Amino acid sequence: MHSKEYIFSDHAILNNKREKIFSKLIAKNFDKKNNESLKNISFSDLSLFDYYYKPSNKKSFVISNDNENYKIKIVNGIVKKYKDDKIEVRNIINSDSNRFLEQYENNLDDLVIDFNKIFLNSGIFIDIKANSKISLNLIYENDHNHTIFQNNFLNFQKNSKVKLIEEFNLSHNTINNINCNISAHEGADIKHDIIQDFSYSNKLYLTTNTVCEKNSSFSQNTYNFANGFVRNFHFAKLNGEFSKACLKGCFFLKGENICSNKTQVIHNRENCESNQAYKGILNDNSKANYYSNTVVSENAQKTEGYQLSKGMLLNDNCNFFSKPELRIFTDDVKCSHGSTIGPLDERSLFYLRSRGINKNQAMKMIIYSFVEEDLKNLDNNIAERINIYLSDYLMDLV
Amino acid sequence: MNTETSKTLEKYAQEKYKYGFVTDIDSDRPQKGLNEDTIKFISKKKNEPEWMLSWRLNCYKKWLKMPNPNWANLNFPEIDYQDIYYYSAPKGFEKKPKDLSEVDPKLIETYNKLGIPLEEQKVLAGVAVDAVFDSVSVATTYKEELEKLGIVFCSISEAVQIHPELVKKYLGSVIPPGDHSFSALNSAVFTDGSFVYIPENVKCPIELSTYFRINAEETGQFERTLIIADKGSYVSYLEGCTAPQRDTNQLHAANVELIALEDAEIKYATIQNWYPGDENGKGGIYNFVTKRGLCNGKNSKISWTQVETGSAITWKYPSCILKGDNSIGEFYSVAITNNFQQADTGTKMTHIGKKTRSKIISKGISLGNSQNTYRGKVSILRKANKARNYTQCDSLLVGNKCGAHTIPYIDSKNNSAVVEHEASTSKINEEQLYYCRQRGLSHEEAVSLIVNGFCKQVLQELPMEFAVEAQKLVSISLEGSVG
Amino acid sequence: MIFLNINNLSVSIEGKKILNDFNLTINQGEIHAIMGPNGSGKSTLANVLAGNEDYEVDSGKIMYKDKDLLDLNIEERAQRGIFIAFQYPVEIPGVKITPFLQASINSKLKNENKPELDRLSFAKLLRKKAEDLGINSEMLKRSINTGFSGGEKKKYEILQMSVLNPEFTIFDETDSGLDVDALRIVTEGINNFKNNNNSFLIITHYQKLLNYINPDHVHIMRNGKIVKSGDISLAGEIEESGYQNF
Repeated sequence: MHSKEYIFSDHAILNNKREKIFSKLIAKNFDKKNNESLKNISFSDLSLFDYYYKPSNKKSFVISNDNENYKIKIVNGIVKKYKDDKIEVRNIINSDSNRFLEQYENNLDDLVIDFNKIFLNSGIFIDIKANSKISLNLIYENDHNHTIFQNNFLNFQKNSKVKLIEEFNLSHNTINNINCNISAHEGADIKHDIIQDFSYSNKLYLTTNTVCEKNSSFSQNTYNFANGFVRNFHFAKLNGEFSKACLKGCFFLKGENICSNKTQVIHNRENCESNQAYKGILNDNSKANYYSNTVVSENAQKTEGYQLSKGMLLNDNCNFFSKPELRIFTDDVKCSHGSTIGPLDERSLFYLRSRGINKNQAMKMIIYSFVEEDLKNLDNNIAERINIYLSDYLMDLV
Repeated sequence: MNTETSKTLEKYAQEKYKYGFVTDIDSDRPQKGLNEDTIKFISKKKNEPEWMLSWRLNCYKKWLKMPNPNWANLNFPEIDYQDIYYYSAPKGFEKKPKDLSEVDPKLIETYNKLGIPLEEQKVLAGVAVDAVFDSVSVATTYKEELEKLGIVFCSISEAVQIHPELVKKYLGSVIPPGDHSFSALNSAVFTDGSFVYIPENVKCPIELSTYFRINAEETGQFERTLIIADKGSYVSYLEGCTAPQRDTNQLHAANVELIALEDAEIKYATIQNWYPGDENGKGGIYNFVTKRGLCNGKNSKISWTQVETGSAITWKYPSCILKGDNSIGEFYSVAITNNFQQADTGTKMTHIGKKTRSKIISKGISLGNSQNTYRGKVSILRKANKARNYTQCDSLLVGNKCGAHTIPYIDSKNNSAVVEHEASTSKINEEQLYYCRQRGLSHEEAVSLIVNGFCKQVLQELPMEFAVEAQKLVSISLEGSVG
Repeated sequence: MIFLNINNLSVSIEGKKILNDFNLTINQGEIHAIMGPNGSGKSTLANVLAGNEDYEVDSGKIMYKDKDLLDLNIEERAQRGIFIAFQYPVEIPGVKITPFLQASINSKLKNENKPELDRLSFAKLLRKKAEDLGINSEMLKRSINTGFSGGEKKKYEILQMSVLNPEFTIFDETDSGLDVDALRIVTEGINNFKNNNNSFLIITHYQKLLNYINPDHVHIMRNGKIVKSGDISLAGEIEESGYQNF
């Protein structure tokens, strides 16, 4: 390791912990078979890469014309400093090390996060002030051949109301391991859309950990149209009463695409609500998995937790694995999950065709209907883009 | 939860296990612990041929190298395999008694107390029973009537002697001894159990049933059951079990293998009521059971039904390998846990053949401080065109100290297959309770009624003779006696 | 022109023979009714005419408007004016009725080399047709058949018929499970729609529907064949003494 390139390279305690993780990985001292972070990825996929990183802050920017809509470009994990009465944006600095220490204490059994901890080379900190109502567009950009190991903190203060959009403009042959920590303070209301569309040579491991305080609401939608490998692991903890978390996503795979998905909501307090739903369409030789988990802790009475997993397989060679878990430790709950995997419905296809619609178009209609409800609440400009991606995907179908 | 519900629950928790008595009988046991000599001792007691002994020893060697499986959501101290007796038989059982006059009356009395009369004039109508006491089969009823139809129903020890060709061919063919450590252990030390062979095109006219009783202290029970349904045949089989109330934990590690050939159907039902331990979690049976059925032929069908109310720990996944085209696998389960019981149970449906179908209905009820987990796997392999699975798992929580967990694994590799899974978890509905009580039912009756309703889909799959029995057991389980 | 001629048609599903040397001719402007007990092959006939790929045609010929129908796939048949009102219309959540029907009618217009309808003029047409049938315009905002009652689904099939204006309409037991009110809408729909250019094949188990529609020919079907043909009086016979005499 060229220690200078890593953040907190002078931090003795952190380095000690990093070394421990490192030796665990070197010795392969972990349960390979049951490790969910290794589903559809081999350990060598994770561990064999050419480490290359150079900070760059030339192109990064924060733009806001109206003090309401912010556009932030992050280049190679680096952001330009910015501050006004609603928002503060900066890179992480040495004094943030305590935040990391906390993370290092948790043994998540997640090898991707282990690598993030070891090779950490960038991170940003965004603080949204109390009562701010803004929309925030984060655009991740990187130079080719880069390996980004990034740890971000997004802090949403009391009663802030934010539309957060994350996009990825990746150049070629990059690895992006981004771990994002989101705090939703009391009364915060966050709508989080993630749009993933990048070429085959890129890999994105995106992890979010959200903590929701009292009366806060976090609603995430992930749209994965990427050709490269994507891992979407998104977790939420409901730590305050009457908080809500919604983790939804859809993915559209073709060719040799692989994507690995996991969501988990832990209900730690009473009267909270959660929703986890992923839908995927798989074609050609693509592969996907979706783990979902609702955990209801002992004192989280009056919990409502719902899960849904739907896979549509368009080809004989694709593979979908789903594991929707419920772990419930108290009684006053309403929890459920539903999971279906199947082909495009033959009866619907017949019906549409019998009305004169040709097979190809009928298939598109059915596939579109499969994700229709996920698209209807989108802002117009995002909806338009997603529609373009979707028609591209459907165009290649037959 | 309202106070009335809590009171009812408390009352339930105070009731006791009804089958907890001990039969005072001398038994014949080897030294404690497991080594090659133990296995030789068992094999010699059973007067087994050489091939059987070497098969056992081979499995023992496999077992030595295998760690216990660790996927289950269970918490228990490590089992000390050297602190267990591996064989126990009432004295004088070197040879199976020819008829009941040779059987110790205490044994017959034991089965009477359990509600399983063995004497000819009292036998249960329509049910043939093989009674297994610790490590040996005591008696088998209706044997001759079945022989007339060519049906073989005997203990596995007898089958080794009389039908070695069938045993050799099928034993370990569905559950390879090296599958996991409990299957290897059972293969090495299995003592007794049932053997069934139904010849081609014979529909077995009565229920076949085995009743397992663990009596001796610190004794493991390792039964082995093998059921073969030849082409076009049908059999319905039921297994029941109880054990005395003891402070120490006892190990039960059974293997059950089912083979259904073309157009054959096997229905296998279990009413498991092992001693669950007391209200503080002391004692009880550790129940590690491997049950697997192979639908080997076209249009064959295997259906598992289980009512699990007993045991301190239940680890059990009756499974179906759907190899024949158009074959059907079914799993119906009620698992009730109370006090400090832990259950991790479910099924595995492996779709290999075309148009194979499977259905899973699981109902879990958790009370007290118990933890109840459904764990199931549905795999659709590449060539299983138009395979279909439907799974429904419902959990009911009664009280806020228990846990209910649903952990399904769903894997589809075929795009013409349809896999559907639904699950729900909720607490007992106070509105329903209120409604029932407004109609004059006591709180207890109301809980029992609602839980029975919750389980109905599964209970109705049981053979008629036992459905009523099972319903009662569910109510009793709620009364805290077992579970 | 031969409008529809079915000649010695044999059809099976998964190796089981359902239609057995079946023959039937329908001319332009005629209404035919086929009656028969359950399992006689009535619905199979409807599905084969619509082109359902689950059914294997073993032998025989179907000529429709001088073309071999068996050469056409499902949508090509629909675009050439064949419409089936289904016994159990499938629910397709998420696919909205209006754009679906617009796509449907435009596929037909395109096939006829006619200009396609834009969104506005189609919406107008649809609203008018719905009004004529007494169908609430709220229904037009929903997904196909989703959350509809049995009667609503059938009404909606009639609406589609009147919008798409097919030359040959097959009713596959459309009357089963309908209340009087829905039955009235269905029969009025048919009666208002019929003219000298379009033909109907009405498949039914009961005679009741035929009292309102008055078919030109009635056929009795058993074991995959027509066993007797006649006029409306044949339906009366069935009503009185059932199918066992045939």
